[in-house]
Amino acid sequence: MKGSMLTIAVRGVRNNPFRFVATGLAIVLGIGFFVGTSVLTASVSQTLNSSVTQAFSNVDAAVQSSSFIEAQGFKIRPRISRDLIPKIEAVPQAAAVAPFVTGYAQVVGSDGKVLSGGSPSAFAWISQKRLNPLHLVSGHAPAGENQLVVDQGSFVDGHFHLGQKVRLLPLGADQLFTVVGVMEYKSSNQEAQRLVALSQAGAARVFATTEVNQVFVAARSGTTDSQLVAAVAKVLPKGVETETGAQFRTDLQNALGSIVSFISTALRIFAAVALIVGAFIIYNTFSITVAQRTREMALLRAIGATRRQVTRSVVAESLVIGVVSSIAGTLFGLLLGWLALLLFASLGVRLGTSIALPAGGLIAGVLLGTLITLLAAVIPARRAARTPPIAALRAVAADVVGSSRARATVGTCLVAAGVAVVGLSIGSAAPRPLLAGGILLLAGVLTAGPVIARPLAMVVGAPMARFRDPVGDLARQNAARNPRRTSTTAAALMIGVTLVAAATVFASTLRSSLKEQTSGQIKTSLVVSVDSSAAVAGGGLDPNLEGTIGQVPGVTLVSPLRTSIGEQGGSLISVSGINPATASRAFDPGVDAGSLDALAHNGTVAVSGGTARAKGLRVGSSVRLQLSQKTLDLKVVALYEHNQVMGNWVVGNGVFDATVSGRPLDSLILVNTVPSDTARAEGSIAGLLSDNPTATVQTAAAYAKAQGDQVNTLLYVMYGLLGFSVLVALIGIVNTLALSIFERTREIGLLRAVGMTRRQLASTIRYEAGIVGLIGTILGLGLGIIFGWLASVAARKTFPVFVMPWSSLVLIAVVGLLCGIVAGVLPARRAAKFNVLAAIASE
Amino acid sequence: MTEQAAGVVGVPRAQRSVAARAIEARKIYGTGETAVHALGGVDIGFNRGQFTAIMGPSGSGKSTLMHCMAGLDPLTSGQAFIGDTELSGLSDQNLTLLRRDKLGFIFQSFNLVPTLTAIENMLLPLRLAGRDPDADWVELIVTTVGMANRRDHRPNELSGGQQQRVAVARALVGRPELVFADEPTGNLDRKTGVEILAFMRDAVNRFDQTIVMVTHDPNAASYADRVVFLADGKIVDEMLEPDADRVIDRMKRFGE
Repeated sequence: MKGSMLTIAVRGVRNNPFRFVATGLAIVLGIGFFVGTSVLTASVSQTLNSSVTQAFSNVDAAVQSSSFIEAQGFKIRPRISRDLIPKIEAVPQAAAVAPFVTGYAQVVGSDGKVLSGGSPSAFAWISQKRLNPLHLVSGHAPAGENQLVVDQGSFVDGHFHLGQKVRLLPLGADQLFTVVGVMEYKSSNQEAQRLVALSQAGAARVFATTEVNQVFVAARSGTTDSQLVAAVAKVLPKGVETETGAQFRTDLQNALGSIVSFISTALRIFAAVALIVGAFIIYNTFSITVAQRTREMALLRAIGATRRQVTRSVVAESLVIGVVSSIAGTLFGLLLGWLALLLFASLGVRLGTSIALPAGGLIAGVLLGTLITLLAAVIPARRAARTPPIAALRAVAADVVGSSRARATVGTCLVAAGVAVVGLSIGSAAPRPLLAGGILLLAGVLTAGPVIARPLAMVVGAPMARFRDPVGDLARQNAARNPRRTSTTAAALMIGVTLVAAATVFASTLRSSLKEQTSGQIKTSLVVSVDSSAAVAGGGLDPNLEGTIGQVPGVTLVSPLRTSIGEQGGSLISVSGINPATASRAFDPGVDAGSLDALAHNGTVAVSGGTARAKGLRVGSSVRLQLSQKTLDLKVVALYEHNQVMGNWVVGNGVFDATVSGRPLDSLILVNTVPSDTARAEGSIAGLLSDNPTATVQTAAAYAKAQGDQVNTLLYVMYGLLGFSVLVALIGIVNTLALSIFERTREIGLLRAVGMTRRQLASTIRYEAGIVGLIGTILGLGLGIIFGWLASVAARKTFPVFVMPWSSLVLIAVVGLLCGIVAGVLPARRAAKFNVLAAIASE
Repeated sequence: MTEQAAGVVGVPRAQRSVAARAIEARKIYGTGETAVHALGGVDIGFNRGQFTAIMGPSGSGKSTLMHCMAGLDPLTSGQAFIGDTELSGLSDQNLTLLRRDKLGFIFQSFNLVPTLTAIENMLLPLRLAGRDPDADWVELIVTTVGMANRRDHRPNELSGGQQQRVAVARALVGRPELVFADEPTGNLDRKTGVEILAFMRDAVNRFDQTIVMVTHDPNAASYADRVVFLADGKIVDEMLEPDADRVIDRMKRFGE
């Protein structure tokens, strides 16, 4: 009997290919996304790891500062003195010693624009071949202050030729470099990205320091790395340490890996959402097909199949589909991962040259897909087994209408509890209770779904019924006739829309808060800034610009801001340097106590109110912080409320420049003008900036808006990732509808016989899909707005401006409706093709 | 009631014309050796205001004839007309519009749309056509079929007989040229079946409705003005003013 039930299961799959294709598609997409993300992250980390290992493989010991600040896996260490090199060279176990120097520099392309992508940086060329992570592809190594070598990608993208004179940021246009060679990492599968190599003298000039980041040491043959480390350690002063090459490479890998793991965690979350949505679809499909086969099940029971056997046959069926589609999904995931690598490559981000096959991820994909399918099938299977044999004799097989009183009660209670929890915690704005309240609301809506689906369908469909009689009315009745089915289908879409809407609302809060805070904290009419990618890499504006801008007619005030990374109380901080003579006329951080002018004195610092409260600081207290490798004991001379523009720690430029090693760069220059001359001054300043392609001059309002709009990039990435779960949900609508029209074949035949045209029939089905889509969208919008608002409440201390993004939300609703209608196209076409006579005669 | 009805009936009985006809109608299913000749060249006309029953043993082609004449199934050769419209030249769209505007249907079972109420089911063809129902006429039909106090019930709240009455009303409400009924009493008990037949007879008498009914029930056939007998896809006999006994006698001869 066991064998025969399996036979029935296999036949079931074979005889009804469509419904299984649809179920399978949901699994394929969900698992594909999941596997795709793990393939992508595995490929990226494989490439990074192998390149690091290969390029630095001959480093046996690395000497570096013993103090470091750790941020997200990166160990940021101050530079150390070059004077150590002769001491290390004197160590008998050392065969070769080389200074390793790296920092920000960005080459300007032939078209005068900086090359996009990558992480712009410069190395000082290491003359000892074995310790150099780079090797030449053509040309010769940089010699003298004015020569450089570029990576192969930049050479091509920048349309360079050997001997060409190029500009190198952050230096000005008057200082040109000659391209004398093209280089690559000493590893087969990694391209260097936006990297230039300078001579040691050239690096000293660009970085404005002779200090070095690391000293690499190669061991004499016969000496182990640890013997070398022990020997080198003896000659090092306090504050400088050495580690083996292996440890150095591990640190580098960890730093790179932490970015990859951060991205992969984010991707996994989105993959999980797509899988959850997929599980809804799979569950729904099994529920419907089981309902449709009530008579078949009852017949099996009537001729002697036990409940267990019926359950088993449905579960076996799900196993067949689960395994097959999970394998297909895994293959699809490989394809997706590969496409993503290609896509990034085409955008100039060369993440990896070869695709990795993460065995764990692939196996997990197959197992997860199968498991989800099995779980989704269990409830319908048990329901199928409960089919009484007598049902075989009844004519109509229909899904049970799940609008029980218990469901309504539990749903209402959950929603009420959610509202209560939110209401109680709204005052304190504590994130956890707010999240709990939101989840209770979501659970309540999901529980009450089948109860509210019918009234919702009637209300949502009312305009269609009103304006497209009778097609709209029939569509709305159809959407309302199986509330459980409609609600599960809509719920799948609702999840995606909830997240989209929540992200939209919260992004609006961030955007408007950033914009208002920025504009509120800037008193001047113009702002000169560097673009964010250059700023992240360490780029900035030449401080000489301050003086030049000051001579532009109409300019009344020039006030710079520069920033560097420091450490306070064990955590990473950003420290700003300002000009105390002008700052209080340019910046308005809302000074509560003391004055920014007092920063003119040595050994002083201004602190934001939030930080001061957390650290127990007030005007007059003293605080110790690290900036570059130096420890500073500073006296607090001012407290201010708003940290958007200046950050939490501000010192005078005197302190800043004396402490921070290397070339000081401004990240921002605020410029005030005579009102009538603002536009002309803006034009003149733009002319001054023309030799720095990363710099822009904007009005304060435009700068503030741009600050806010930075949020958009992240929001669009989220839209893209959530798009996958929305796509899965739409397939769910297609699926449910296709199964429903199959069930309604006779009814459709009747409608056609009494005069419904194909076009009317197709519209009816498209509208039904539109109504289901709209229900999902409206519920999702409602929940999403609540979630986004709760997130905004939780973050209101930092981001106080809440603006409801109405136009975006309306757009989401329209897109939801359209998506639903599009999802209905295929089933509609299918239904319209039914042969009228065959449909009437069908059982 | 009768006077009111007479006022709305268009064509006097004296000027009878043909509501539908078939000329040399052939229908072949399949090809080659497996081909089945469902209709083997049928010539027939249905007069306006006449109630015709089509009878014959299983496989005689009676349902095929009806489906072909109603534009639900195309003929292999020959012609079928509704009024003066030849069906073979019409697209699916035009056939649908023809069914909607000129024909009424009563099926054996599953006759109603389950999501619509009784009255909505009755008015469905008019709504599909975007035509405004004539309120007096609708009232007359609803009352005639005895569904006046159940008009807002849904099909699952109605008995089989009541559902079939709604189907009769739906077929009549658009004042079609012709009503096709396919075994309309096949799923009903005898008493309910008689009621339905009485309504159909009534529609012919009072509203001058043309009805073509396929049945295998001699008693049902006795409500018709004329019975056409089919065997092996051909018309083999015809009987005017039939009664059940004579029909039974004729049917018995098919067994010989």
